Amino acid sequence: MIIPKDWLREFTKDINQDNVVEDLFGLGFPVEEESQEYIDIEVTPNRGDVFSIHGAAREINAKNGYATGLYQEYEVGGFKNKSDIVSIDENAGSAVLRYAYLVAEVDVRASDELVCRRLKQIGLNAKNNIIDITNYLMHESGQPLHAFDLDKINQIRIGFAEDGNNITLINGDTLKLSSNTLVAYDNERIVDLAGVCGAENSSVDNNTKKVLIQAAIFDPATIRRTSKSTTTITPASMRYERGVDYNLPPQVITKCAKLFEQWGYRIIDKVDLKLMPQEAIDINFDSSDVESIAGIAVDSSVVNKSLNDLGFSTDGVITVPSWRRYDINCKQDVVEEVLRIVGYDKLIPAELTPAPAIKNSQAFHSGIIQAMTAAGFTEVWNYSFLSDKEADALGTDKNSLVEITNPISSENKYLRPSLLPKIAKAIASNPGFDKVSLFEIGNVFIDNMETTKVAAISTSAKSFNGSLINHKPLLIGPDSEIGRCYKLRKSVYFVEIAIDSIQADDDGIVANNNQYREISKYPAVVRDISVLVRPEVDVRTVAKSIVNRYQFVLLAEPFDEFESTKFNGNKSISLKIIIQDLNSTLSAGQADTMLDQILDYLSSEYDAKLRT
Amino acid sequence: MPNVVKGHIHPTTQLIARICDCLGKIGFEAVTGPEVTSEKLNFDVLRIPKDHPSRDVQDTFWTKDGRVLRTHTSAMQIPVMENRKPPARIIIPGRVYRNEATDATHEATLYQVEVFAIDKNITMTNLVWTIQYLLKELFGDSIETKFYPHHYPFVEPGMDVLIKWKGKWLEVLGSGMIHPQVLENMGVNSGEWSGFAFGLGADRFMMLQRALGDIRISYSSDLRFNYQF
Repeated sequence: MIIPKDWLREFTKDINQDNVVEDLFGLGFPVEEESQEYIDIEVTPNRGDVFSIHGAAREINAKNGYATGLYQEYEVGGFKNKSDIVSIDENAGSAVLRYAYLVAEVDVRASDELVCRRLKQIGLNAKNNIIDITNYLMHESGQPLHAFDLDKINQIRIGFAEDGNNITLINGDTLKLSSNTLVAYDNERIVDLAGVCGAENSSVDNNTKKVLIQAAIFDPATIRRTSKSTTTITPASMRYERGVDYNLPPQVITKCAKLFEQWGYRIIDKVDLKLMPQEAIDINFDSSDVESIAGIAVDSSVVNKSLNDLGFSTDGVITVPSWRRYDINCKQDVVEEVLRIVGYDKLIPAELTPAPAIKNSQAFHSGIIQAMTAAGFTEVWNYSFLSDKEADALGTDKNSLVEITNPISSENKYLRPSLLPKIAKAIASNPGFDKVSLFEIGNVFIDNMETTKVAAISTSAKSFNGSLINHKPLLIGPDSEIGRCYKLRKSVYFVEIAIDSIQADDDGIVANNNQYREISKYPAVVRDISVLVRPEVDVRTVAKSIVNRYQFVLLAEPFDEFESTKFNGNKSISLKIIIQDLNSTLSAGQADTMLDQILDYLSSEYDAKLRT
Repeated sequence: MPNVVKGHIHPTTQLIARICDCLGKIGFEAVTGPEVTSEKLNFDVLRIPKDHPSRDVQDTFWTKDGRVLRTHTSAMQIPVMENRKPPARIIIPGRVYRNEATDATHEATLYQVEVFAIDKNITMTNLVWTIQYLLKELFGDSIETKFYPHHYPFVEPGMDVLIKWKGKWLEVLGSGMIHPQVLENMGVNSGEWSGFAFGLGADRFMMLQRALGDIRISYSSDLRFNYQF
């Protein structure tokens, strides 16, 4: 929500403006953006009361030790409690909690500069002074207002639409309505999408001479249903969904009436129908609750002042202010209020009571991972979704697949019934590596069964010998359904079993700190090197030192190691080196130069000799 | 000779191992559960009712048979406590799904870790300590942290945790005291027991630790990525 700074200052005169951003963070409203003119804050769904300049100001003032009231300079009074224009259908009785309005004779003009500027800052276009002031006062107070042209309608009867009804909105869009959408009728015509958006047929235009300004309180769930079923979201519907303060309507109608009088308009009528008066919410709470929940003691005078400044009364029980009734209902909520004012930075860490240590490797199958990597299989993670094409290639009966009703795309229509085919795709999509062994542990879905499986795939059937998954692998050839689906260039071998069917000893996984090196967009050069080194040299240390030393090396993968009497007591190690440049394609000459650097380094560091 | 070709472990798996080891030392037990769950367990028992805007915070995938792909590992809170009596210290790692447009920092498939503890007299200061203990293990003893209020329907008071990373403050995890209603839904007497919970995005933590800028690479099986770890 955008808060223009000068507008905020109208309500926060007594505080240090330099701290406003930090105050907002400390209150629980992260500042997403700040400019010279405005602050943009995140308002969580439980805080409809902060969806206004005044609401935000109230919070900031409380943080600084002040309580605020809205429109205190206007005396609220003179409202009738009966109406000849507005009625509520019986079946809509629980949808309308309060309905206040004024009727005035007007002449429509352009808004003044201040209103135009502030509307622009909050992303709205100025239309005319009547429509503009409804938007302005809504953004200022949190109370949605709506203006009806009273020469276009005779009555406002709030009720539910019928399936198949239509409404044409002020912006010209036509919406289909259903029996759960709340509307306003003028006899049988629908003239408003209640709480969401006005209709063309009752809207204020340049010729309007008589208006009714509505300030209503609607049931939040009802407005949310309208918004969802018509897929229409407006600033008004967002506020209603979160719950609007029951006491706002007469206050905001009073301010609107004062402005109209200043503009020379005649106020004909002011009505306030308190249809469902709200009972106060009281909470049993004691200052000591702060210490039992938060772990820090806060003096009761500080507790009471914090709560009072936020609008809570602290006379024995805690009485919740009318604008917080949708959010506060237990003593834990009250404790959070105190902490928001006192500051979460006051929470000093307190160690948990000691408990016996637990070895946790089972939950993430550490023993199996260790066994598979020791056998040369690399762990991959693939997505859980499959497309129609992939499901066809796999050959599973589509009736037993779990289908997503709202996938992100048709590529992601089903949940995987197997770790195949994506693990086969993994081999096909890495053509630069010719000997590949991969495994994945993940959940698969058939009907309403979900199973954790481990799958392994390799370009060589021999890889499975002596590995944990010592089953006869399935051959998947380039001409198989899966092979053709992913354009496999050669045969691969695949095994998949339920994780529960194997056991593995476990020493715990050792994590490393390797930093990701960006993969170049440009083709890399791959060179295999074989060198002779002393037997005690660890090939993995050699590989790591090459990568650490040379930024242009993306990978240095050991792939062979053996001894031979021909080597005079040395051993041969072989590494695949991938050389790249982030900004260009390397020439063979450039790659050769880089490789020479590596070989020189290996020679000086490890006494390595290139095998001829 | 021993097998020279050793496979690589996915960096997020390595991270989960570190988290589970670190918390295991102070008595936390790792438990896993189903990725496809019910609307009730994913939302209703966590105080995210159908007709409330809190449902909009996490966009959901639905299955044709009316089940939900869990949007957070919090969906396991009630099932885990079904067969346990407090005190409890639990870690829940696992895949979650969000119906969101994907880009370098947003994915539809995510990996989360949920941590919760229920005991007598657990307070927010214990929560702060536990989070700092874990963050120091993952990012080093000198990591700076900040705590701000934030709203999540299943905790009260709720809290966001930020770390200072390369000069900027980054929000990295959400937390709070388990809401008394959620405790009751777990079959735990909220008058006698209290608890805290926090959740972190493992993908995001891995990306910070490893300097990876694009989350999609993590799920791509591009071996030029996997072989680096």
